[in-house]
Amino acid sequence: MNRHHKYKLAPGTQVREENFGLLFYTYTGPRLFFMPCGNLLGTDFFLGRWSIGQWLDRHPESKNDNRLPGLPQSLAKLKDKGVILEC
Amino acid sequence: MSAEVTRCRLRAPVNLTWEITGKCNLKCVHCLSDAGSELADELSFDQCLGLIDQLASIGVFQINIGGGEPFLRQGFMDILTYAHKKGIVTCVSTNGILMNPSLAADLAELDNFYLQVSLDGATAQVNDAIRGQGTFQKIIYAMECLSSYGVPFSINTVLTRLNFPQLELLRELAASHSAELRVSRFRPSGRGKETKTQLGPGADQLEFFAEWLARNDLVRTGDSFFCLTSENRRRKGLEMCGAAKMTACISPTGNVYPCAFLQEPPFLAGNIKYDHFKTLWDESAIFDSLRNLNSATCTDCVRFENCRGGCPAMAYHTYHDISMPDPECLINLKNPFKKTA
Repeated sequence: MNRHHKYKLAPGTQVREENFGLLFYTYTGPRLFFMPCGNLLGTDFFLGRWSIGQWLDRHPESKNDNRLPGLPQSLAKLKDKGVILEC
Repeated sequence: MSAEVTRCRLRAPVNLTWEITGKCNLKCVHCLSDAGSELADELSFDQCLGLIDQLASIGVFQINIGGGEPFLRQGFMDILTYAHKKGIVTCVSTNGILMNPSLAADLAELDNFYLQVSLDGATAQVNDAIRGQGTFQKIIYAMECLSSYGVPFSINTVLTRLNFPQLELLRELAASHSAELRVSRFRPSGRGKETKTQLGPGADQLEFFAEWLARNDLVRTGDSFFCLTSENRRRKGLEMCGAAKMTACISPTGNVYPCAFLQEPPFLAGNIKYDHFKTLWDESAIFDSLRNLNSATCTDCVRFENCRGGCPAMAYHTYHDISMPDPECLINLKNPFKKTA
């Protein structure tokens, strides 16, 4: 996992926290994207202020989350679909 | 909508329908809301802004605003602008009668805004038989205004026996105005109860329409036709009923229902004048019953994963029982379901 990557929401995209993780909505269809990451990431992560490494340092409890290994793939998938942008 | 929604309970709707007024300047014969006059106890301007505050605070992404005719509502542009200031995407359904260059220019300024213009035929003869004399020309003018100002919009057509032969013409008419065609389902509620026999599409037409949809990838159906959706159109729109799972409906007076087509007393969750919307979303028994609804007679169907029983509102308006199968799904069209006493 590249700990230096930062991400922000693509224009017209919104995100909110749900029990399963994060729910993304895009103005242009398809509209909904589910990220079943539990509490691993919060919506603030997508302000683009913190890299993945910095986020994990700020939220040390996330380092033991068993969903952590799947995180880069989930983020890459959202990036490929144009939901988030690397910054 | 993805099947994920059926497995997890969302903290708030993804979107909701808000019928912001009952007032309408048309008297369409199929109007599911039976719109016409302003209701005596419609939400005040401040209550409308308060509702938007509530919806923004719980993370509702989109509000679909209809009526009645929303642009007849006093202060509507201020309400709309306020929703956008709060970061909410809006989609407004209009009959287009009040559209003019000035209004189109104002709408073009809104980010993440979408408009649906109702048109029920590709000719004056067909459209005006449903929406009223002289409306076709006014709607075409509205489309020209919107198109020239670059407002993103779709033509919204309720599929009827009358306009069924004009689907291709409607698609071309939309394309010629840089718009999309969105075909909605005729629902026997409101004035549609009275006109279903006369206007509701027949089984053969619905089967043809399902095949036509499969060939016309760019035609939208919104939340209407998942009961007919072929496999290759999956993920083009809703795949199953989103009522109480990802959407809800608020009436002009603040009543909260699971969806716009179930605005009947048994489905009233409460009123936002007295309860916070979030409380109703979380605690309403009727919302819970919709979330746990499974049409028992459908679970063995080969298409169950595609539609999960179809539209409960259609079942309710046909059988007075939301747990019955959708009478117009592809399977039931071929083998009409008979409810036994």
